[in-house]
Amino acid sequence: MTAHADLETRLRAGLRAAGDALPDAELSDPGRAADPTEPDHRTAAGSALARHRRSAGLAAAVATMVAVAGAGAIVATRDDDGRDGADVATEPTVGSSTTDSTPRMTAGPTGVLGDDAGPGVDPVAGSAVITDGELVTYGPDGRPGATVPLTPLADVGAAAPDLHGGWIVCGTPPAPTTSTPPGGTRPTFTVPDPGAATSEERTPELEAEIVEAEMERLDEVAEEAGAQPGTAPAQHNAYRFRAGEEPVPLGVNVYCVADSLSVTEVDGRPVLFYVSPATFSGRQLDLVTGADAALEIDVGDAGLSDVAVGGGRLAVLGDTGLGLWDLATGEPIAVGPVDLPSRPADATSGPFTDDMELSPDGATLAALVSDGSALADVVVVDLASGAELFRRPDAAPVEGGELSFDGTSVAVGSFYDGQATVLDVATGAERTIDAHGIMP
Amino acid sequence: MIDRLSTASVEQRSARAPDHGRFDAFYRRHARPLRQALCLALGDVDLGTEATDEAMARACARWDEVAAYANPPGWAYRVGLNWARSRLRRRRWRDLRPVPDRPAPAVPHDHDLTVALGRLTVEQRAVVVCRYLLDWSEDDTAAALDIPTGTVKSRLSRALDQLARHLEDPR
Repeated sequence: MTAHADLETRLRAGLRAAGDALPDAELSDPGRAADPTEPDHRTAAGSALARHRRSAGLAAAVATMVAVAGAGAIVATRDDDGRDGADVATEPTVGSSTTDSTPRMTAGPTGVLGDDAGPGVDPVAGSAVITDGELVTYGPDGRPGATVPLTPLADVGAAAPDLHGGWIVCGTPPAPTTSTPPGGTRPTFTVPDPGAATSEERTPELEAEIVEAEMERLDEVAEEAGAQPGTAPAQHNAYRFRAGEEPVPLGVNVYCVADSLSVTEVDGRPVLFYVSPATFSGRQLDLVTGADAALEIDVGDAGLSDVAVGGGRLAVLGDTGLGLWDLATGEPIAVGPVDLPSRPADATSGPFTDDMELSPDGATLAALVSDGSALADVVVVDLASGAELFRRPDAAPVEGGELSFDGTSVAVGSFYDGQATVLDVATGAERTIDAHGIMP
Repeated sequence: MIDRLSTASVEQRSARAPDHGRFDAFYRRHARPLRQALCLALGDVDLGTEATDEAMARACARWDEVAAYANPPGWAYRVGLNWARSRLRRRRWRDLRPVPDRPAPAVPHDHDLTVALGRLTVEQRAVVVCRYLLDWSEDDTAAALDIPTGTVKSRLSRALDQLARHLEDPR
């Protein structure tokens, strides 16, 4: 550091001066807090708790980890700066004797996945946590398994199994590539702000804060990519990773947030479903042929609160209830009287559903359901009959809570807990996996 | 100034007792420097302030546990950083809308350093702040951020190189 001795001196003085020059904040005198568990809004402790609870209620999707269940793997991604779980995804165990949820992929892909993505490809064994830019899987026994470096991506935002032993991951690439203007196609599947988030105390001001923060992030990415602020980042930011192999760029630019990537089979081929940041509309990338196209399914535009892709199906929850579509044909599929609450986009309180996940066969759906409070139930429903198959009350916090579903088990966790709880849908049995490092 | 992690003061040690009343002492001692550190690391006054509240709220809610940690201020710093990054990565599909400017920290009378710091990544600034504002050692910084010491060194080295380059040619 001696080479920068003068700079270090300047830094010390500058940072301290900058800290002292910060404008006054709402950090009030804490001296009057009697019991922090019973927040007194007049005290610092009470103020902090009150603010925490306020934001906790509206944060539905600060998805920080993706957990997995049952025979599948648990996967969490973390930034290379550390310790920030970004997404949790279930990895169906391919060709394993430990599960019946074997993906149906049988074709030998020659496209994006490469020639080695045939059936029975080595599953990512074990469960996982990501540290320093790595994706680590965890097995059903809770022990760490394979480690997959996520270089060159940074700031990983989402990960999804590609059904062939690899992972589709999005993040910030090292440098912009080609500039891709928004396509001319006008997709019919659009997802406006679902407003699914979630608090009795959600206000327009807080809503604006969320939008502002997200827009700032997008602008930063766009600026780094040489694009104009306010437009979508131009660089391709999705890669396929697999243990022991070089990452393969997918050649698309995805809106990289938790739960924004899903892979399911359509006509026997794995297809990645994602959202274009240029148009904020759904698109589909055939991982075998590399064909990229708009998702041409008209799901309406009223009050969409959550979507899920799985088992070759698209599930959309809106003001009028849950809808289901066949991704191959675009035709709607009959759904039983499923009782999942949907909060209107302009509402600031009331029950809501979040983190919907379809089972690998698309027959059942798991979700976090809240009555508007800061804790959500885990609910599993049968789509054909509408029957509720499972409910675990208060299983996850709304803020930072994430859910993953492999058809037989639900994994639920929170960024702030550092643990993933795996719930068996059939028996109700639960076990906890200590995802060291995901949480502070 | 937040205490160095490896040299817990008497007050720190006493604060580890499972006594809710100690949270107020912790708050009085560490809230302001924590806010300074988070604002500067995040490059955003509002976000840093809210991150401070969030971190302190979590510390308050589980004080029995947090008080027993080796370094509660370091834990709070990491919690605040992680919360802010998650906030910025809010995963919702939203329409594009114009947003107003946000206040950013500034180094008084040193515009070039302000700009140079703004060009670092949050990860780099988080380390720089630990070392040069909080005066934590590399090992203590690594412990607080839960990253290897080698990562601290490499980030710090890159950050200083980048700062030096910018300050030499502040265009």
